[in-house]
Amino acid sequence: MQSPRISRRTFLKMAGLGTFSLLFSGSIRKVLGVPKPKRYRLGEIGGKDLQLTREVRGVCGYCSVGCGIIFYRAGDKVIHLEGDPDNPLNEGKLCSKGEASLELFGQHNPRRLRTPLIRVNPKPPAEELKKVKTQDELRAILDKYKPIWRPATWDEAFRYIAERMREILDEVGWDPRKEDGYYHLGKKFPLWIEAGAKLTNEEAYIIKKIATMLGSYNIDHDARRCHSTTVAGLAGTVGFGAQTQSFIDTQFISTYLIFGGNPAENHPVSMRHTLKGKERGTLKLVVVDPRYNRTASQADVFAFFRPGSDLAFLLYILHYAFWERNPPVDQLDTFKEFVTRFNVDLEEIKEFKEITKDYTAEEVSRITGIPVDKLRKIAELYVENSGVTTNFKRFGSIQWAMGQTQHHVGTQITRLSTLVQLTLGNMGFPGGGLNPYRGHSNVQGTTDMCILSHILPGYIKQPSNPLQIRVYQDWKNQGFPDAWHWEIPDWAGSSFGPNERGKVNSTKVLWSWWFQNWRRFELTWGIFVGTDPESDPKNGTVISDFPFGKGYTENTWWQGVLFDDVLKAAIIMAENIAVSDGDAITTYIALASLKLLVVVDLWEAETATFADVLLPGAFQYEKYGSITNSNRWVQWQDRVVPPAGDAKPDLWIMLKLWDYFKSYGIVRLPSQIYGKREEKVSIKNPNTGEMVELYERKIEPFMDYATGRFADPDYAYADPELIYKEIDLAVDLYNGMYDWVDGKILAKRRKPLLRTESDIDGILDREFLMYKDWAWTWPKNVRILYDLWTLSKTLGRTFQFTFTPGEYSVGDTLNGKTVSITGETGEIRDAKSGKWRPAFIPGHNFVVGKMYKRLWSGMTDLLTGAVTAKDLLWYGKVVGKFVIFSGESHTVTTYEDLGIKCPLCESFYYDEDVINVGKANYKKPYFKGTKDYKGKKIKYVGFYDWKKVRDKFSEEFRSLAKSLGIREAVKSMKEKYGEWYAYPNPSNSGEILAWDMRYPIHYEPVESPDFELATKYPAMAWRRAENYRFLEPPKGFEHLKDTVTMIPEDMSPPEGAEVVVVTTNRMTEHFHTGQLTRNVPLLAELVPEPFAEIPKPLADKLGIKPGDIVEVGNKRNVIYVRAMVTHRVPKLSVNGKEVYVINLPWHWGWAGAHSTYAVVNTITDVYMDVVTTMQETKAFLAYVRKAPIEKYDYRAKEENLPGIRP
Amino acid sequence: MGEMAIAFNVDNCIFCRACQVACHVWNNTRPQVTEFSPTLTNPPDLLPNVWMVMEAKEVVEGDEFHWLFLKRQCMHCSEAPCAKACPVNAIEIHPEGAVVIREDKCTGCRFCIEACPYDVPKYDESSEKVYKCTFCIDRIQNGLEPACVAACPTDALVFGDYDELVNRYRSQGFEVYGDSVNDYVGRTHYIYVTRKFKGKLTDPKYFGERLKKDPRKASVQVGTNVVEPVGWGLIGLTLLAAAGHFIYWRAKRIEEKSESEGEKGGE
Ligand code: SF4
Ligand code: SF4
Ligand code: SF4
Repeated sequence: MQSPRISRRTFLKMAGLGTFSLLFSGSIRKVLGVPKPKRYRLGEIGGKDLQLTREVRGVCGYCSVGCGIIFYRAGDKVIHLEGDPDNPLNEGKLCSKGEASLELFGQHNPRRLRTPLIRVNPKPPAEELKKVKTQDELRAILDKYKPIWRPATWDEAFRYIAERMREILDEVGWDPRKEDGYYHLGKKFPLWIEAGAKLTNEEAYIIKKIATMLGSYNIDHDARRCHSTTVAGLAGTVGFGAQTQSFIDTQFISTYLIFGGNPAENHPVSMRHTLKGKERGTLKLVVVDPRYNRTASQADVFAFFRPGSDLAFLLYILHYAFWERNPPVDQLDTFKEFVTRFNVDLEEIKEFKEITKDYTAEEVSRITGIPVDKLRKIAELYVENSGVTTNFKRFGSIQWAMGQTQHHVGTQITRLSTLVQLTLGNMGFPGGGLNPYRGHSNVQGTTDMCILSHILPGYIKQPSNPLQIRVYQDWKNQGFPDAWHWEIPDWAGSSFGPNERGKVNSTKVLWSWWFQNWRRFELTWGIFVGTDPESDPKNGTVISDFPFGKGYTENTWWQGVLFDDVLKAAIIMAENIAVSDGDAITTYIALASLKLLVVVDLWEAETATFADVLLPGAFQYEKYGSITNSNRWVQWQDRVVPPAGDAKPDLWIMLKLWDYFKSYGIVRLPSQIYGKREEKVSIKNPNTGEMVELYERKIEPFMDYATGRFADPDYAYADPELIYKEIDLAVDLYNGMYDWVDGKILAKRRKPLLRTESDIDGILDREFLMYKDWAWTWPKNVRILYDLWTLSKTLGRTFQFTFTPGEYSVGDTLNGKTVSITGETGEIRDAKSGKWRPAFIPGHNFVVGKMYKRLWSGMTDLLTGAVTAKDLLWYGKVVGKFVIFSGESHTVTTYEDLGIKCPLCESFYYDEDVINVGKANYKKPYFKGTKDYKGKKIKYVGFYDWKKVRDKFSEEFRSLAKSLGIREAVKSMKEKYGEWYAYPNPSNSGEILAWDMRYPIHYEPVESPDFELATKYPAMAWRRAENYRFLEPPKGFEHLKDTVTMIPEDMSPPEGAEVVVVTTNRMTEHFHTGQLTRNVPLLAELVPEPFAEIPKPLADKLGIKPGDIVEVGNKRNVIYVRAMVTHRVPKLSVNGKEVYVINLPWHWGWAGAHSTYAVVNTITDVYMDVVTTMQETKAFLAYVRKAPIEKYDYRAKEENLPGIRP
Repeated sequence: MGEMAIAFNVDNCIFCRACQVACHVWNNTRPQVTEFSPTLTNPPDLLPNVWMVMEAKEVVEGDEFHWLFLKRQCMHCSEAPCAKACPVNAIEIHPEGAVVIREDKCTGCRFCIEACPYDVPKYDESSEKVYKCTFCIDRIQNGLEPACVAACPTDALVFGDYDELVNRYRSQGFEVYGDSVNDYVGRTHYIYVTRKFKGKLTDPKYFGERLKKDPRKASVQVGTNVVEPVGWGLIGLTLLAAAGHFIYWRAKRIEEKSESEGEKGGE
């Protein structure tokens, strides 16, 4: 392998070289006659003695770009850091946050928590908090109940927690169900766990494992609030919910549409790569945003648009492509070719095309506030530089973050972005795809590990009923087959979807993938999911150590506390929801209502105000572990120094909690209660039905990571490398990140080199700077998702690979064949040869990672079996038995006999058949079938049917809204027709038609600035029960009803105020709830105080001067911040009306340095996405006016500022 | 290493302010406790502990709107009027172009402040010394790029051979500020380049408040640091009278200072 650029040396090595060269550089300036200027030691000016330091490599712990950092340590002090010049993601560069990281270490930061704390005074009472209507009232209560802590030992703190948990469990009578099987209901567990996206992959995996083994799905994390709608929108349409490109790859884009993101501020180093394309003149940057932000300062084309009109804007791009362009894109051969490659049904496209017809430039301009000319200019630029219009030579790409996701129709918006890309042929190429930039350093990883209430690690379905367990047991008995070899038993009926014998369909593909993963969890967790006896799946007793169902989400959990009385305790790690929850006062009420709240954090943050126990955690730099950046690169962090004082890494805390929970009888696994101690692993002879026993597996829940391999006691007890290996085996998505042949953690791979052309994916690596030997990427080290065509279409060539006969563990379609590879394949260690082989052949297609073929289908257990999880994980011991059937007889053989060199490598392979089965979901109905309502049938229908009643629906809604107000109009129609977005079928009086949401259409935000738009494109929120509770709240929470202000007319603003559309945002200098930046003096210097960005004309109208205090309020709360008067937020013309937009950065709260009670999220809302419960914090209504300075309560509490100079 | 330059490419800056933080981190200067800034620029001016500041400015001209970003710090003038003004030769001019105040030699007389036409050096009350950007002399002498350059994610900051950089930018169609400013400062070793804002670098509505067309200060030269007296002696003489009182006060301070130091030394 060869490098195209010099592998850069690290800091000190370079320093050495420099010194050498300087000796020979003669001074030629006019300094003769004066003493020679001083020669300085490296670091002399800052008083840093760098010659004595040790380098520790890590990854920036702020945003998700994944910039490499080299830390310089002298003894146990971290004295300096520099960007890692070898890391291709940042090439030595960092943004202000990365640079300021040094101040996070306890040694530099007196605010870091150093010891466990137990509260000794009462918490703020819920009843008092319910009355809060202003910032002043909030401050009064929180000041009164300011926590008083007493220091405690860890043992004391853990006992305190476990005792109370035990009491709570006894109170609710926590035991598995036994009626139709032994299992827990995952939504009933009284403990709510939130574990944030700052955790490592190993920690995220362990916390979800712990929750699941406690019987709970009441676990979720910040991903719910940031990109849950992206994951749902993308995964539901093309297979995976992640960035398809990489940051580096953005330089190859032709038109980069920044729509809903702000990378220059929130992912600054990513711009390094994007601007390379601009510099070369091959990339046009188009920014469409409610703010002229720092990204906009780099734009070739910029347009202001109204927050919440996202769907309309994207629909216009397609309107242009389908209806204005000549010829329309669907007439192009390239289009047909492209949609065929995604197996899309042309009928579906027709229906969708019909939808886009109404979204003309004029209509969309009325909705968005973007002038018609500009709209057209953007659409033209985008469409004419797309795959289908350039024969796959140039591509458009869409970047977004919270701008698209945080809406009650966020899933529809991200899905629409996906449909735009599918329609225009911009998907699956370097330079073309989808770029949802994630927020936290490891939020991609914590999402992949699924600290989520609805899926198991790796996006695996959680079971919902005993039948699924029966079918699963039957699947095991069939020999753990892939979809091609699996038959759904007849007795399963139709609940598994179409049961087509001998045929592969999407049901089989998905369920066999899920089952495969369930099996991985069974083996690595030492649990049991199946029937007793195993041989009778149909009638045996169902035992499932996986709980059933889905839990509360981070946006619905408060309803679990306040309305449903299910959640009574909470553990919140590495999150600060008191600042980040939408409609945060409701969060305070819920937090205050808990019997036990444990907070694990770096600081005494806002959420700790409501805590009973506050435990000191560690930051990423103080941990060992892997982290996955936004473009799915899994990189390794080494511990730079341990956290100060008695603080501990979260992994240690979790595992200790587990130990205490176990000894307090809190862990109640159904298999143990039933007494299932062993699993008989048998495979059925397909010809005779005879069960052939392979081996017996002991059921011993496995949570023992105390390998003692690390010298450091925290990690001697909690070995992160062992967990890393476990993840490789347990989570199919991450399988391949451990190299079982060479025993290597591939996340630690740091080769800044490109491959040669003869290597796997070598051509692509060289052409598109993929750096495939830097770290590891899921799936199977694929860097560009869905890349099936780049070699053949874009580069006009192919790559040949020969599967030498018999050498590889692949099936007939590949064995002995020479295959032509047309895209990116990724790579796998082959079980038989131990060599690397291409994984996805002929390239990576959508959903392909989920579909697999298995050479050993019907022959052996997954991972060739494990007697105990500990054997498997600690010692790599496998059972290694295979059964080979021939007619009525069978032989049992071993992996040694079969010449298998890597028993822990699976025999999965992915060939052309796999590509042909997968299908992109152009159409995706979110509601299906029919239901009865008051003697009528509600039928969920597609666009053609819905169109028949659509206008009548909105006409009736408008006329009711005029007389009753919008809120009552919604209730009245929902009551009348039994569903929201439903209307009687004019040609069948017994039927009500309800829109099934199969394609995105425009919906106004719940709080819209215009009555006409709000009734023509009504918000969809009321489809979801949790949202409807705002219209009809339970007893004791009537106040919530009044917080719903759907149009400016509902607002009743005070004198001198103007009702405006509000959007929220993050800034370069701060991070999320501000704890990681307000407490960092270097960053606080840059932006110390909370403020609102107010358009200049509005400021003039209201008499607001720069720096004045403004009151921003609505019926949820009223807050006071500084005014930043600017031209960078607009006055728009929306539906002929003047609409002002203001922006609120939301990084402030009352705890830590630079504090205020003006928590922006106390005025945002929590109307939830219909699919994922994402809150609508990017577009809502408030009023703004000038306020007296006394109202402003900001405090700068700086102490012990570091630095040796003045 | 010959004569070097740091180029700030106005067109590429995204105002991430990594440079400002990196400057603090490398030099270990105390972060400033600031207040709300209506423009985001913070702190609003250079300080003894803040040697560079990123400035942001909104410009509206007709239908056009621009958000300008400008890096502000010592310009490292070839004629270094500050150095010439320093009576104790505490400001050294390095062959790389760096103009560096020797902390150990600075007496806090503040002549340099008077001489600097870009308002750069800042006096610190507590240490009674003057501070400013060092061109990261302790990095470049040891073969590293300056800290701000090393941090800058978009390559808006580039460090390189002076002539090579100037020529490269010019040949790529950039307008360059710095390579020949005027007789007072000579050329600056921080250069500013743009393609997007041609003709506007020295326009006060845009960058001109900082990138002065004719930077000049009515000031004095009492130091002996620079041996290239052509013209300078004269200017020094004419200004002497005007600044008479001022100089007297400073000179006195220097004496007091050295006396007290002497005392210390005698302990
Ligand atoms: S915050 Fe993001 S862009 Fe900035 S240094 Fe860290 S990872 Fe890189
Ligand atoms: S900018 Fe001012 S301080 Fe810097 S070298 Fe020039 S005169 Fe001296
Ligand atoms: S680091 Fe570079 S991009 Fe960031 S503010 Fe400084 S000059 Fe601008």
